[in-house]
Amino acid sequence: MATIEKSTQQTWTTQEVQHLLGRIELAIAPSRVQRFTQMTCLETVDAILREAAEAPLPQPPSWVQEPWVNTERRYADTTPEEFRGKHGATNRRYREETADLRRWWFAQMVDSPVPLREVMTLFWHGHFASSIGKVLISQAMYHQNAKQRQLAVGNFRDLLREMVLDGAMMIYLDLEDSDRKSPNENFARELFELFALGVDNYDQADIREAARALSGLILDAPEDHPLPNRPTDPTDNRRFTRDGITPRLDPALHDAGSKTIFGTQGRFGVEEVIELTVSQPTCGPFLAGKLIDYFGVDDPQGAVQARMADAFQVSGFEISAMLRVLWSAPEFYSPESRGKLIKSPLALLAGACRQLEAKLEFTPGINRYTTAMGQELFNPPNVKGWPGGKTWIGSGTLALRYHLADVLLDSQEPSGMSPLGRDRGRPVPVPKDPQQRRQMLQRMAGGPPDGAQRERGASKEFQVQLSVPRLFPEGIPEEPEELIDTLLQRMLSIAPRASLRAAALEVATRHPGQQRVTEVVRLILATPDYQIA
Amino acid sequence: MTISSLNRRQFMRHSTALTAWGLTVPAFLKQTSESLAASPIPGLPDDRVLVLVQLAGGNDGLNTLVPYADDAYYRSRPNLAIERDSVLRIDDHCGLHPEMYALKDLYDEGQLSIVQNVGYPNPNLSHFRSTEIWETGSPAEKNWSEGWIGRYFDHACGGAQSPMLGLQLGDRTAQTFVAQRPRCVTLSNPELFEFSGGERRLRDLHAVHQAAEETPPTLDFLRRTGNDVLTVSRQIADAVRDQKTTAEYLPFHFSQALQTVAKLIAAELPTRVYYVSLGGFDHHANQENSHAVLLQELSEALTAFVHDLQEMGHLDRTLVMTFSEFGRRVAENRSGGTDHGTANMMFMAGGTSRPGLHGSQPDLTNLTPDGNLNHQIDFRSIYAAVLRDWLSTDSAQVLGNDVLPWPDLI
Repeated sequence: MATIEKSTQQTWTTQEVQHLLGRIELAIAPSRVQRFTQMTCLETVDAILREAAEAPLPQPPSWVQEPWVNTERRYADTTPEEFRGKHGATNRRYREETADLRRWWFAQMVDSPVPLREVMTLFWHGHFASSIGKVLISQAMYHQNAKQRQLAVGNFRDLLREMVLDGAMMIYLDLEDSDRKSPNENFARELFELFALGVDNYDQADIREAARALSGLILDAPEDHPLPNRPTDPTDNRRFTRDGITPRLDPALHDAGSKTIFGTQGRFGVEEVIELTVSQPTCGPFLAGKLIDYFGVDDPQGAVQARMADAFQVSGFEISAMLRVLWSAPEFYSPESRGKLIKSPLALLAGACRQLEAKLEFTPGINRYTTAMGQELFNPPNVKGWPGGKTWIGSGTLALRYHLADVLLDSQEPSGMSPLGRDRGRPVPVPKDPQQRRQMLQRMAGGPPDGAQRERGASKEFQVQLSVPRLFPEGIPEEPEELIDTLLQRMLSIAPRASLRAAALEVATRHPGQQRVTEVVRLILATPDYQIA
Repeated sequence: MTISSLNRRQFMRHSTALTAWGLTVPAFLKQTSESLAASPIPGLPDDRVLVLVQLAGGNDGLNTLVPYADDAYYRSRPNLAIERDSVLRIDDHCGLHPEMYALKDLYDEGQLSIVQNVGYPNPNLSHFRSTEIWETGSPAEKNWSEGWIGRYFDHACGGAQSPMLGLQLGDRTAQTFVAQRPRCVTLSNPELFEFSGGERRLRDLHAVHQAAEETPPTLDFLRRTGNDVLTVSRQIADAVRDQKTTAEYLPFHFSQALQTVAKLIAAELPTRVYYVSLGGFDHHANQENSHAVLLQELSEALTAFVHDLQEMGHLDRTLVMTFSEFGRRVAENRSGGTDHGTANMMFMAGGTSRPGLHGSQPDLTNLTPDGNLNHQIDFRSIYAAVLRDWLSTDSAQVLGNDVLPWPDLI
């Protein structure tokens, strides 16, 4: 295997270093380029993986409290009014916490000293997808995210176990309360099809039997945690009766009988299902294929995939072993792989903030922006996650990407995101009588500005700090050519096209001083070239 | 069928203006403008349009189309039932909510069809999941990721060049449009296609999108899509600026969105399917007023939209259809609201839709164990009818062989 690793090359080019960093670290930091060009490719990959595995984990957001407490429990003696109050307050809190969770994660993406770990956490978020839309509990989404980050480049068997025994995932795929009498097959199917093996690498009987083995899992308060001694209605929605979000096996619901999965027979439970699944020969190639796609590598013969699967097997299911093979493969650096990766909306935004050293608070407005571009954190489109690649790009989403400069350079809401009409406010029907109707509509039109009347950019949701002097601590290059080459190199993962360089030069010569920098950046942000890594 | 040649002339003038800037018009742009001159949606056999209206959150169908002659309805809803005398009767069993007087007029004009008792087997009561099922047309036990319209675009619209076969007014692309080859534009506001910096900025944008050199396939794909953005931006901006509508719309989001759709249809954009949403139907508590207000807005907006298109001569090429992820529980809950349910009703208007009531009355006495309606019509058979009878395509390609189009609907 050694003969096909780039490690055999004593040196690698600056362009190759940039290509690697642009893909796995969101942005190409000049200091990192300088450091890694002194090392071999394999030394670099090992160093980056080690950093990602060893760096301390971030502190959880302040609202995370252990153990989690259900604040909307409905007891037999809860009055409808009391329940409405609790339910409404809990929903509001979940919404705020989810918004804060997004802010918290985006801050990791932009500020973390180990951006690779965030890039891989984002990969696992799409791979082991769960949505707040169904899970509803903000803290459950945090737990899932924390585990995905902790094991981002760790052992896949461990990660898979964490994801099976995960409150958010159990709610999302209906594993919670799966009863031996009619075990829920939804989770078992996705475990094989989407999480570990790929479609057609199992049959219906395997799903049925695995569902039996996974039956009996419930979400409960942590052991030894005192519970309120008040009965809830067992037929009520789980959401209003849960004592906690810690997975536990309820032997009364578990099917302890013999099962046959992938031709092996035994009284299997959760642990055995995980072991049998990761040991399937299709697990390595399946995961390798997904990573190859995520990192935009051209592997037409499947050679990289096969080598990654080998490393996965030999290492005892280590994710880092696969990534090491991938990033040191000559195929990763082939002309076909260069500029093949279309950045996800989050990678685009976080990468831009890193490159331009911009300070951006991930407000609900920014969340609406990435959502409109096709990616809302903690709300993947479905259990398959984000398909990525060309599906990121349509004329609507590309237009939105081209408005990135509105946000970064002008601190404005991107063009085209204001609502068309106004909010109605209180639920009062418009009068049927034409005269009364006219009066009401006139009153509204004269009221406080909202909706269509809102000034674009007036919102606090789009406040970005970008400092041109910070970008050029040693002063802005005098010569337009030097300036545009510096910016193009800093912002693009591939060598700029001649026509782009010419356009950038024309813009540069039109503007003086700091404006010269911002206008060239504005041009680059709205190019097809900026969308790829 | 009225075909406004004026708009095509307008477009041709604008594409000439592009050339007048002294720029090379990319081949793609030229091709688009030439084929536009032939038909609103080049590459498709006809110029028909479908408008999907999503009622998000689960509309209470039983308080929309009220079974006022059914005692079981009044027994199940002692507080929330619509009083018999105020129901806008459409036959001797059911009628519309009193705030839907505009839609009632439309019904009386013979312009509205109502499909009742629509649902699917093994209903899912999660908003998220049930919306997925309605948007993809998948069986409840399957997870499909592509939308039913996305699959229709992939299977039947291969020859169409338009980058905006689907156009959604909203902030998150509906799964309905998810396709192998995405050709849907989602916008909250047509300003999406306006770029600050005037003509000079546009010239810069054009400059970086020219096919001046050999580029790798991904970059080439992006460059071509970028050219689409520039094309689309002109077309939409012109349509919104120049197209006058005649009907009065309320100043709220949904009504304004439908007005914008009316303008875009009248301007003959190369768009096959439009999508707009009215949200807020998840009334677990204090349903009465908020539901009335939403139904009024739906009623006013749909009626204005239909009259608008009729006035401008585009109603016969436009079919509009509402849907919601589920109806509500038959019995009201203890909070003056209703919980997630199953079967529901849909509105349809325009095109060749056949006015009147379709489907059987929901049976409020024969319920599922959790108190929900058993549906009569599978929503996929409504989709199949739309695909076959309105969009002239083989519905089996999109929905599979086992889904048969519901007869006599369109």
